[in-house]
Amino acid sequence: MSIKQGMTNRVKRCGRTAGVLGAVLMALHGGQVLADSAAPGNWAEYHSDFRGWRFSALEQINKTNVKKLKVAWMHQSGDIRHGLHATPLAIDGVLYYSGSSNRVFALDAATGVEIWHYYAELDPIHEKSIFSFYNRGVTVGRGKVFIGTSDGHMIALDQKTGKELWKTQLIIPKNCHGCNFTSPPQLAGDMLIGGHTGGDHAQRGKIFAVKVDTGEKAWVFDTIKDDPASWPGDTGKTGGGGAWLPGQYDAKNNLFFIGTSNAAPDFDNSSRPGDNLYTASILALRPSNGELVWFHQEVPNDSWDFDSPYEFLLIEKDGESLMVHLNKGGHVTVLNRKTGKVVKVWPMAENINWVTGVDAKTGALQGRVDPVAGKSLTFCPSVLGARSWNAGAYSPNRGLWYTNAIEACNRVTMDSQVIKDLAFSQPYFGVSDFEVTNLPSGKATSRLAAYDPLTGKLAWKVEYDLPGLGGVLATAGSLVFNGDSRGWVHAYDDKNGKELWNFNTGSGIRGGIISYSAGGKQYILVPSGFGSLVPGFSSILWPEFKNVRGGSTLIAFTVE
Amino acid sequence: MLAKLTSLIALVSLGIAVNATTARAADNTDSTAGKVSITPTAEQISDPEWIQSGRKKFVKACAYCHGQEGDSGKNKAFRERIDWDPNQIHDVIANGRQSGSNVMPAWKDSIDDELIWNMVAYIRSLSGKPR
Repeated sequence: MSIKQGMTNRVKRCGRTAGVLGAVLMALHGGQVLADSAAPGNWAEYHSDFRGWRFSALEQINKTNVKKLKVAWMHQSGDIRHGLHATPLAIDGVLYYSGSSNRVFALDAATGVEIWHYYAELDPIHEKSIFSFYNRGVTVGRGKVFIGTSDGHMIALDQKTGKELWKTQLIIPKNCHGCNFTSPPQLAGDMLIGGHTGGDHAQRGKIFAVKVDTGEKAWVFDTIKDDPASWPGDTGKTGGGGAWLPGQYDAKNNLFFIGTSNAAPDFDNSSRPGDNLYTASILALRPSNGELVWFHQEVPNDSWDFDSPYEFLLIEKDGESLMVHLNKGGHVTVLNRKTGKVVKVWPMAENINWVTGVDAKTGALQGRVDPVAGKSLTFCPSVLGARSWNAGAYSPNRGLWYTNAIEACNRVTMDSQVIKDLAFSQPYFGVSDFEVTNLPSGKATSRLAAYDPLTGKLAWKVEYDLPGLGGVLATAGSLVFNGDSRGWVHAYDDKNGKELWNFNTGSGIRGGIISYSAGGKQYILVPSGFGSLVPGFSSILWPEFKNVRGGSTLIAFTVE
Repeated sequence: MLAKLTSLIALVSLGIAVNATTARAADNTDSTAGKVSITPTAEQISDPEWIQSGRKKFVKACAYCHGQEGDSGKNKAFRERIDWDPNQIHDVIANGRQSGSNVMPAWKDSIDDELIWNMVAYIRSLSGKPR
């Protein structure tokens, strides 16, 4: 019995809708990967599809039976350093994911039995990078599995065997303070596109495209604009930038959207007067040649570490192709994604004091308050952001966007930083005092919240004792799944936030929860495994972070 | 700072053995780099100039994970540590540490050993002083 034949009638109803969409997408993309992604039982891209929704059209698991969810199987990556950050992919009954140290696995999606694995051979220098071991998963398409590595390579593996097909070095970590690839490069036609870490380091960040079938370098986009008005003198050479999260390919408009990192030094913007293009910006690139079609800089001359790498929620509304984008500084910008014109800006963070506002028509910052040399100032949100990097989810059925959020601040005294005094991979912050703090009004808080993404109207929220640091899942079963930092995964009613089910996975959630179908059954797949620097840095506010155990386990749930 | 380091080198050249806690010297051979790290005296570890120099580097290099006074991180706050062996602190900074999911890179190849000892002095100055 094929996977599709095995679907329930309820799934089939969803499947018809998704099938039509799939035919359109396949025609638009002209590639196998999006034919796969259109199948409702698959989760074929990082955000499930190019729209950044993290929505599964499956509804076999729903509000009436979610209490019956049981563990079906588990898989251990075997390397728990910095935990498990991946969003797994599910394509035609096979799961693909990667964990710490660029360990890549293909599993039978119904049983968790390993089909193949690939362990990247990494240059030991990667262990000297503060962002080493971070890894957010793989990309699959055109018969290949693609990864970006901790030592600066993009690699293609045979989808069926895991055999290495090509390997291209794009960055040399020793030359860029340990900059590396922590996210999977994304497919856009014949190109594979991705950027690297580095907004917190004295380096010059770039975005690369390689040819999918050969690994040959096709083009490089410099996130530091070659313009003395943007970057006086040599400031651009150590201006940070880069792009550390996956971009998204809008095939209909033939645009690749990717958000860039902050400018460096993070807090000392006086050392780099100018707008510091193209840091802290949304870029719309032409995949074939890297042409910059449009851009929107959310934070010119950033001095708070408010970069722009988070997901793009792509929505059609009244005939207009829109993009919804959260910046770390706490504002959500709605843009026309064909032109980059700002349509609306709304504040998601409840505590924002680095600006008095953002112009709702242009996105221009209003009343900005920058760090001052030698003076201790408190800014909200903190470098943790109004949310961590883990994406929210959107339900087209409810018209709601579900996202984690953090309300915290940091105290900063800006200071000059002599570049030659930097140790390898030492953050290039430009501070003499730096501490994450509670809110001026009281204790730092966190929540899972549901918003109308176009207006910012709050539908419901659930307060969390510890910030949620995982990716959210929404399903056609009227469910929202979110993993917390203690390791509990929760299922909520997508309409009102009522909790319907939970399970303790034993380690905090940092990856992205997905849903897929295999053997006629719908599964909820939870990456469990705490890690990264954020929980440690913020343990002064949430001491329980010190006690959360690490791990790296995929846990599949289903109903009998 | 430079004068202090010069004194330290002079002490070494004279073969004077001192230890931070017992006033006896110790050599920690770094097998990777082939360098020799000399454990300073207890007086040097508590020298305000060393502590200030170490604080400056610690805030710039380490606060992102540990907080500027070691309250953050994944382990016990620095202020809650008592009888913390300076050699142990030095070893962790120099060689890094991996424990479970926690990873700290090694800094010995890009921070001078003398400055690492200054950082040790700063960290040691915080220990045993709970808030």
